[in-house]
Amino acid sequence: MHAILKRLLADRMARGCMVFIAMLLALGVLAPVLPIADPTAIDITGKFQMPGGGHWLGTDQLGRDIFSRLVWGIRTTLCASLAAMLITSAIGALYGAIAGGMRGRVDAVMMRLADVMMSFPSEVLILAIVGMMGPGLTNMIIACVVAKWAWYARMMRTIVRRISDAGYVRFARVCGAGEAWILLRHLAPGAAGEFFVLVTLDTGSVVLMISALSFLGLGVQPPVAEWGMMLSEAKEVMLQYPWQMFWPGVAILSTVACFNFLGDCVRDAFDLRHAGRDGQ
Amino acid sequence: MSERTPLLLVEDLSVSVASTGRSIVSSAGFALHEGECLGIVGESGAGKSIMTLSAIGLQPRVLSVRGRSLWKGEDLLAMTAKGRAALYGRQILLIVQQPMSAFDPLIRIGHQLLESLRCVSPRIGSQEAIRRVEQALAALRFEDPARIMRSFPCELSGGQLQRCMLATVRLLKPSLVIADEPTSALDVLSGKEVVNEFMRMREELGVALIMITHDLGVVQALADQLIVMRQGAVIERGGPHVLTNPQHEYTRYLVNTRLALAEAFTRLTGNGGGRA
Amino acid sequence: MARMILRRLLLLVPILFGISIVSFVLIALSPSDPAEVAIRVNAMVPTPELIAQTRHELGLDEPMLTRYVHWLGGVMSGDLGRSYVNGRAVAAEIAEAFPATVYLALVTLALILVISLASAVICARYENRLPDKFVRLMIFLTSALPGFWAGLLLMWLFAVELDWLPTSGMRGPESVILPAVTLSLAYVSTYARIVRAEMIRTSHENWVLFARGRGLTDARLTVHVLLNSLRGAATALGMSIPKLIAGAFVVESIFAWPGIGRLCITAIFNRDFPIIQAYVLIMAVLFVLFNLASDVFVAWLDPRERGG
Repeated sequence: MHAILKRLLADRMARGCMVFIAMLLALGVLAPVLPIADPTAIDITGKFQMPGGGHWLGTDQLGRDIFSRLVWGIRTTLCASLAAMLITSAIGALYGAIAGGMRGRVDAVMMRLADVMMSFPSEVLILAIVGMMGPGLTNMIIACVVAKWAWYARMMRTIVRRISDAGYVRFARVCGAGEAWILLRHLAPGAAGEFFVLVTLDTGSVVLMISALSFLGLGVQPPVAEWGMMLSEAKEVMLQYPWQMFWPGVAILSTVACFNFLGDCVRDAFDLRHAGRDGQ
Repeated sequence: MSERTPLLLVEDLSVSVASTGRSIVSSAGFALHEGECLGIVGESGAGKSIMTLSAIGLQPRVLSVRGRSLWKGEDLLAMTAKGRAALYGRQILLIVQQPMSAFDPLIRIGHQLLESLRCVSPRIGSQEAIRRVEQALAALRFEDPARIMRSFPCELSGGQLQRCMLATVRLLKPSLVIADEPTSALDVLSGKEVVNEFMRMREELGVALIMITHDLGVVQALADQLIVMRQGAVIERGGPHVLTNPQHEYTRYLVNTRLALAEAFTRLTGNGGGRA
Repeated sequence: MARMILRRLLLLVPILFGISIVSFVLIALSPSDPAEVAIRVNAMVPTPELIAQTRHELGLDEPMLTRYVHWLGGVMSGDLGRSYVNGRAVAAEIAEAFPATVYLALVTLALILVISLASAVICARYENRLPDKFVRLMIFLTSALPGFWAGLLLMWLFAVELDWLPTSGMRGPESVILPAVTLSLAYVSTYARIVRAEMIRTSHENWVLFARGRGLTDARLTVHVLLNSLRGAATALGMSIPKLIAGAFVVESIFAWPGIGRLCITAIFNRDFPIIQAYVLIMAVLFVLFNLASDVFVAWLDPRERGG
């Protein structure tokens, strides 16, 4: 594991991405104590200001500071996405590990359920759940979890099966738990790699989903700041102040691009480990 | 005999991995004249295929090539890709290893052979083209050329596919045929047929032949001269006497190993109450 | 191959059952009483008597299992319930909106194919040189691009500023351009990557070397490689149609495209549960059937699998 982390950190671009994400998170967490404007402070007379002066990125249609809303938006968009990802992967991993470990009938039934859940396109299920439960940040997170857990469950089950299959075969030939443990330590990181790649890449798509839902009005409600919703508000005033559309979109793009890139870097870091010494 | 210009003259050819500089072939070279057969022998991994592919400009893109490879006096390696492409099929034909994967799996053999013919002779009429393909297949001892033409590659055996590859020689009539391990993927009987076909090819068409193989029996039957490669370098060259009277230690080892194998084979299948 | 199809169809039955159960049970997630919702949606006051009466009308006073069986029976015969808002048959509403989405999806798929093939050819030809790197950068950026943002920017540029294209609706052939381009941007990266990977893999195959070595022109060779790459990417491409249909709701919202995505969004705002339920059911069934169809199609394409 250490070797993989080292390789990951050695890559300049990967480091850059991780720094960027960490910075965003820090900004978001510290938002209440940062010396930035109140994101909900309305000032109709000061609406549609261009960047400059007191407002680094200008103001929106209600005179609210855009930069501040972007920073507060981190709390909603990014943190909600991360929360959704963590919960989904945890539940999925647990479910898959149990199914893979129990084998037999239990495994078959559990996987059947997962198969059924996987036949629903994620967006459709998320829409339906939010539709039934009503808009709101928590409901969006719940919807994302319900729509995606099955993929993680299936992946974890495959991993557990692979390890235990190899383990059973070797167990017969191996004396003592020592060697089996070594085997696990060799197999586990590689398998875990696929899992991490999926988690990283999926985070990007969750950010896109949450901002899309908020854009449609199915997520957070005003006046909470959220990147997708800021775009929806910007759409209404497109004719008067098109610049308002710019920054929230850039924020989403750069965040998702970071996660996607990081996912590729993680994949490379794990791959090299299996490719052999001199990449033959 | 006067000094003729060699058909293919390779001098000081070195091939290395472009990114790491690791050497795969070092300073290889040979001279091949019209109608001659050159055998390139050595163990697997000696660099025989890479050297020959690089000499005609078909090496994998990750490799870089230095040296000279003169085709009828012109340096192939200095030509543009287009210039080289004009030679493939018309003058230089490559028969690859692994006949089972030598053809596009999605398209019938007949179409692929016709396509080859049309690329080399664009003005040929369709009836004439079909006739020539059937003729070529018939010359390769196929009893029902029409059925072979209708078949997909997955429907034919390794031996049949190898003969389809050889049919392209009769179809395109190049000056040089490079055959990469033509018998390695085949059983002994099919292999013998292939060797016979090469002999017929030389007699009837007068093609020059480069035979890359680790099977010394093939070389004995066909080669006018041979070179022995080991770890990317040519360690011995000469006429067929190289096999009967090897100078280099490694060549002796090769010959002896092969003799030992051949003797074991004869013992197993020949005089002793052979196994089925 | 017929046996393979039969086996897959049999395996499909429990999945379809599961899908119907999940779609039906979704309604239990609602914190509010569907009867009350139905009343409010029609701008009436939900008195206790009215609620009780509506519950009876909508069959909501029966146990869940009975309701499910009723609903399933209805679904099998094409009755997907009635909208809370206007009482029309849900099946009719969906049937009206579906073709628009399919039309959008097909145009988008055509766009995606053209862009993916073009970029794969460029990447293969100029491997690791500038055009390849540029295309890869573009593909990477589009994968991170929020579709609705791209849609907004395109709308602003082409419909508002330049006034070349309409901002909304489905009138005339040019109205599909902006929605299709926007939708394709969201998905092109996935397919371009797959096609490109397939092309690179295929171009290193043995038969490509032999084809070149026997004089096939570059153009013909590219066609061969493309066909084989498409065969390799066919499974993914086959599933792209239902994915596009499912993912079109944002684009349909922005451009007021009268498809089922927009129907569902409107239903969500109206809390029109029967429509939402039917949408989920149909999309899932579509997905599963398409999966089977594309697997069969791919197997049929490859002569190696046809005979066995």
